[in-house]
Amino acid sequence: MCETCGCGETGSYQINKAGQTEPGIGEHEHSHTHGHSHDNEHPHDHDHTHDDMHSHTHPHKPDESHSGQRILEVRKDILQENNLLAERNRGFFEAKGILCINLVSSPGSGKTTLLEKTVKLLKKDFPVSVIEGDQQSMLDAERIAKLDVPTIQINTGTGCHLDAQMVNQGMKSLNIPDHSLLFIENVGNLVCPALFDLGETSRVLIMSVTEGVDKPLKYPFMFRSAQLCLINKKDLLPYVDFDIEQARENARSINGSLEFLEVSATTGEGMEAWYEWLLDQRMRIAT
Amino acid sequence: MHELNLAMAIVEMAEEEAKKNNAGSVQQIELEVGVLSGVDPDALELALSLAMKNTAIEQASVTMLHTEGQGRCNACDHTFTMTEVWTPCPLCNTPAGKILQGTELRLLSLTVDDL
Repeated sequence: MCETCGCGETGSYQINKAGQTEPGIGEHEHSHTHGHSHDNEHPHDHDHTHDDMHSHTHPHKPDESHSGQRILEVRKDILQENNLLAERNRGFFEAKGILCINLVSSPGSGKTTLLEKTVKLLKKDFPVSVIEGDQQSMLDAERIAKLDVPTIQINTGTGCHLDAQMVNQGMKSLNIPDHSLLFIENVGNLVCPALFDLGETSRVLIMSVTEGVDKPLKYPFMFRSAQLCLINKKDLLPYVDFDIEQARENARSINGSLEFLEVSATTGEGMEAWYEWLLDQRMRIAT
Repeated sequence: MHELNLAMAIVEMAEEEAKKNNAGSVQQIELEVGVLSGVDPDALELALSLAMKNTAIEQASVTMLHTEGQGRCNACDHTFTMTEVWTPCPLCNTPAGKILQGTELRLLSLTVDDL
């Protein structure tokens, strides 16, 4: 169980187009790709070595079958299914020249407002689509859909993050144009989404000056996995005790290559640099 | 972290491997949970006990192997033990080294009864 957010079962989720009243249920259709497996009918050399600095004991050797037991060597990544699907998503984005940005943050960082302002800036120049992820409600998708861009809402139910399967289903119903931008607003949570690759081109983390400068130290996995950190609500700096340099230093101690931009989605300050950063990313995938 | 999702994936993978290999009941599940994987072993164990209920692997015991974290310093190339993802290089104190080992999250093996 997710000890941080207390989320429970995530077997089904809902994908709704903004403005659509009938909910659509997304089922986890699991397809599996397997490598070879080791049954004990044949001798079989392994090329893996146990070089992980640990001792490793088996109650039986794989080819022993006394007392009616045997050991099946599996050695598979537990996140393999998500990672494979994430790579499929990534391949789709690459083939179509789509820049896909996964926006992650804690709740209340101003993610949706920032996305609204970003979409307004970009949509005159490029086609933009949005996937909104929240546990419940259509509120965010309705806000974004008012900007007249294709938007879907994925409700994760009791789940606390989006996964590659949800995004895969979601993007199929969006009909995303070639060479466009896709924003995925992940569930507001700095813990669980860190582990789940969606196939995005870049992961952008938003922290705001109303949060503590120690956030990077408290949630190192998320800070480690991001390419850009947007420090939002810059306009509130005179009113809060937030040392931007200390925040950067904390984040750099986790992720030495993390880039930073300071913005205020409300006043528009710094939004030009964010826009330039997105253009730069877009140029990179085009070449 | 998201241990219940992981537990459900483990159960599904274990059931499928056992079935594919014509195995009887699964007695033991051996997992590798690296110390830098971002997974809380206690939470995963609890989640597994829930996820395994009423499945073909309900009676299996779970063992976890906690692979040590290792990193290489980006500045001086020193290889060192990382107990946390932010452990700096012990020689030159440079933070955020490259993680070489410790993020593993794998189903290693199943001990199964023959049919």
